[in-house]
Amino acid sequence: MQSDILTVVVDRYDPEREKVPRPVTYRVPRQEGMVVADVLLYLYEHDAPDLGFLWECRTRRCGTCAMRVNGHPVLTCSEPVREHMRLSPLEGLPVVRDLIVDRQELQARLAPWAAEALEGLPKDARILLEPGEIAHYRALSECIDCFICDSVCPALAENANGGAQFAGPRRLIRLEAQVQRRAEPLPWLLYAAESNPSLCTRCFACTEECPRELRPAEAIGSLTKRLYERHELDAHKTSHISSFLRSILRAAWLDEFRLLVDIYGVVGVAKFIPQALRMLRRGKLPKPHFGQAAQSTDIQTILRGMDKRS
Amino acid sequence: MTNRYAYFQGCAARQSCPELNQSTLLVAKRLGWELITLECGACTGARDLIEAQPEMAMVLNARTLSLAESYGVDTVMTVCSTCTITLRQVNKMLKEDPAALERSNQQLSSIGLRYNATVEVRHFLWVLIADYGLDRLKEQVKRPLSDLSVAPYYGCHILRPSDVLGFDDPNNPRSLHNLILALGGRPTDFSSQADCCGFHMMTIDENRAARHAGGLLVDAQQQGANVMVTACPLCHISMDAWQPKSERSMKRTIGMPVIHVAQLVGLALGFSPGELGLERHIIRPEEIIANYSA
Repeated sequence: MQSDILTVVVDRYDPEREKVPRPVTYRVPRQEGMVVADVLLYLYEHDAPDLGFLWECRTRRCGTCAMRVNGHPVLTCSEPVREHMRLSPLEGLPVVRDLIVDRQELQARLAPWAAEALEGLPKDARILLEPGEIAHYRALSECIDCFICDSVCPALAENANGGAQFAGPRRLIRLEAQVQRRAEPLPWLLYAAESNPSLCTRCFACTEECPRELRPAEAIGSLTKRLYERHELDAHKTSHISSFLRSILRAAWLDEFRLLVDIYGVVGVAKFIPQALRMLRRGKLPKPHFGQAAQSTDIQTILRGMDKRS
Repeated sequence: MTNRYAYFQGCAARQSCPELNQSTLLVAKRLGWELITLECGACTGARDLIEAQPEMAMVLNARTLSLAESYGVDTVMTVCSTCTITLRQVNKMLKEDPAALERSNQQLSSIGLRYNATVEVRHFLWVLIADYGLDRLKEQVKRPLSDLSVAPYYGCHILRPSDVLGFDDPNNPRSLHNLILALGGRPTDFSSQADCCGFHMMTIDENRAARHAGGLLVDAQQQGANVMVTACPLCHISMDAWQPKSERSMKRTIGMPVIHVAQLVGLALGFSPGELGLERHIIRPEEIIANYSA
């Protein structure tokens, strides 16, 4: 039995005055077909005229209204209400006020090439796309800048601790869209290489949460393939991929010992000695594979001629 | 319900996590499962090959699936989440795209194999819950884990993307929770239970990965867990083998033991910590070893 009244907890927050968000409970009359954006508008009109939230198109086309409902990122314009809801801003972005986040820093990551991408293509740069490719390109181009993929990205969150910076799934899916429509995609691939796609953890949170089902993680995989084939992928990831392939062709299974040597070199691998000793004491140190596995001839036969790397 | 499975160990259970293989075989035998170990299989290529050389990954894994099929089983049972997602992605493509299946079979024909796309790839945890059943498992429990507050760590590749995996809700996974309850333990909810362990960025930026994994361990510890259980040996490497590095990165002691699902089940079924290889972990679960050795 549905209740006529919805209980809604909103994380209210004014970062200039408060140290942490303050949960405030509201009661909202349920209406037929109500979505979360309707709840916010009701609160704005009745109980909380100072509530900070954004909305625009109300048709899932603009991405402005993204926030979390019970911890899960959604577009509020199409998210059906439920009995008990906690509304919070997107994770991983600075809060401006209440449910509004500051998207400027992440938006700026597109700046170096966004203007260029929007310019008309010279005629000789145009390529003909097959119908299947058009559907794929159009899909990638339908990113609505809701920032949900970036907000759930663990690799992007780790940027705060310094070191190499990951540009995030949103930037990378846009680069993949550009690469797909260009006769000469190299400049765009170089932008992709600068975005450190290898820092993606391959967790698929972005793919799972994208409200447009654009599969950003797979777009990052596709960019990785293109960079690998053109020898533009970073050295660590390249060695990682090449080592996997060599192991499989020779020993069928991954040679974990050789993997580290391939990535870090004989000298570089010395930094793992303390860890290796701990693993040795526990009988967990991977041993190098010598010789060929019985099934390696079969594996070499079926994979022969399939290496797409020039 | 069948109890005959093709068992795909993957690479980690053959090398840096041998205790995973050891405990899986013990538990399977106790529960009456017949496992046909795919020794003649091959590494899935993990995320590396399927991204960089997808056609190769498809053919390589089609070979493994066809070998399983040749044994007349309907399930390839995995014990590694990354093997699970990779094999399932390839299997999905082969089942849904006749042209991809045909291309794979053209390559496989050169070694006398053919894949008819009849098998499913399922994780040990799923087989345990869906085929064997938690009610039956409860009846087998000899030593309830009533003294353990267990943090159920799911990680990524057993949950996401849900259209490839689909056993559990990625936003509210319950399978490990339910298993822990069935074994008499207390599941300890923690906010990062379905977050990524960072394994796949480990060789790209080890400090970043170690710090990230450390954050998950601390989260579980702060919620009162005295042991963490994981369904994936790669998550295990991140959080056990690399835990000393996480501690250095975070400048704090953590000391959280992380064990495999099969070890947790094995403890409740009455196997000793030694039989399950619990002494092999870098962060040894000393309390469990002491209490369950008697």
